[in-house]
Formats: sequence, structure tokens, C-alpha cells
Amino acid sequence: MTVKTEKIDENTIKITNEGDAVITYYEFRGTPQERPVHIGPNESAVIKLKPERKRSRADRKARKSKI
Amino acid sequence: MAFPDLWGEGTALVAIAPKGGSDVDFATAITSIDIDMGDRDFDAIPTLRGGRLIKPPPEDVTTITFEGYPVSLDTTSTDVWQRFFTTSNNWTTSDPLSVSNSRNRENYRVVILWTEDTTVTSATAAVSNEALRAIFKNCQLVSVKPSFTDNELKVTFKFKCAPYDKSGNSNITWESTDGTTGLSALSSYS
Repeated sequence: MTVKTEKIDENTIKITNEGDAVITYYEFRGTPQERPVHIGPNESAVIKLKPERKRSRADRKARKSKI
Repeated sequence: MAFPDLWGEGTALVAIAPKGGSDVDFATAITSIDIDMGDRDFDAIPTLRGGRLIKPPPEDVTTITFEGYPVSLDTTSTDVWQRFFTTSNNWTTSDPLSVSNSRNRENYRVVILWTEDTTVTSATAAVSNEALRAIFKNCQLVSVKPSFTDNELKVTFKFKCAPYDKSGNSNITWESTDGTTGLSALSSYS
């Protein structure tokens, strides 16, 4: 295969395109923040799979109350 | 801002993606594109006094035919054989690659872009200069014909696209820009 995928962490992958075709991956695929990443021949890109969730005030409150 | 007199050599890009997958740009392996847009014909039924009633039959399917030189079964490149025989869930990714024919069929999005902007590398990308783009969704790869008659392995392959999906939504979109606003990058095909 001309594309190598390395897992960096649970939410991040590195894609290296060793072929001769441009490949388009989508960061944050299926979310409103989705954005295309075009990876040309002999290029690589680091892609986040899911956007990091912003902690809401309610989350922070809930966390505090547990402590 | 002016369109060229015609879209000529070196202006076309083609991106093909299975549903839920990545787009692969086929421009490096394709030599010709032929879009047989489905006819929107009508029948004219003569009435007793010589009038005509226009009866529109359903819009025909569109066929997109490519000629090119795919060289392997690598679906991260310009493969047609794995794409033809089975779904993306079943594509093999470790060498040696192999595929057997199956009853599974995949849906594809085929995107064709014409632009003179050489910084644009994918048919799905945003374009800020003059451009013309055709987007065909829910296509199936219905024909793959390899031939080695001229001492070269040439493949003619066809995608077929119904004009509408089951719910009646359009499967075919054409868009163009003179560069005033530009074309947006396409979302993933899901």
C-alpha cells in the first residue's frame, strides 16, 4: 500500500502518502468542524479524528462537586 | 476574471471516493473523460385537434466513462479492480493485494474539476480562480474493461449514476465560479 498510517495517540494519526495520487482525508470527519486535508505524493499529514470537547460550565461544576 | 476560451490539456482533476472513505485523485492515471448525461427527453402525444400533450418520461441515468492506466490493486492509489469487485470494507491493504469477485457493490462519489489554477491538487478542493466542477453521488462502478491490444494495459471503466436517490434528492451537481466568490471545498462523502 502506498499510504502508511501511524497511530500517534487515541485521537491522532499520521498519514504518509508514498504513492503518486493525491488523497483527501477529512479531519474531524462527520462533525461541523470537518475539514479536508489533501495529501500529495511523498507528503504526510497529522490528522485529528475528533474535535476536543470544550468543557462546559456544567461539566466544571459537576467535576467540582465530586471533589 | 475571465474564463479560458476552453478547458484544455492539464486542466482536469478527478477525485473518486467510496461512501465513508477518502477521495483519491485519479488525474495521474486517466487520459480521457466522457460524461454521457442522462437524457431528459419527452414524448409528444397528439390530440384529436392536432395539439400535443407533453409527457416527460423519467430522466435517464448518467454514465461517466474513463480511459486510463491503473497499474495495481492499491485502493490508496488509482486501483479499479478492488473498487469494481467488492466494497471498501473488504478491500485488502497488505501486500500482496488480492480480490475475488463478490456480490457486494459500493457506492461512489465521482468529482470532476476543470481549473487552470495549478495550486489546486484535488477535484474536491476549494478553488478561488475560474473553475467548473461536476459532482456525481451514489454512483456505482459498473464496468471495468482492461485491454492489452497496443502493448499497454489500458482500462476503460464506467460509473453509472441515477439522477436521484430513493428520496428524490439530486445526485448530480454542476457548479462554476468566475473567481469572485470561489468554490468551497467539498465535505466528505458519507
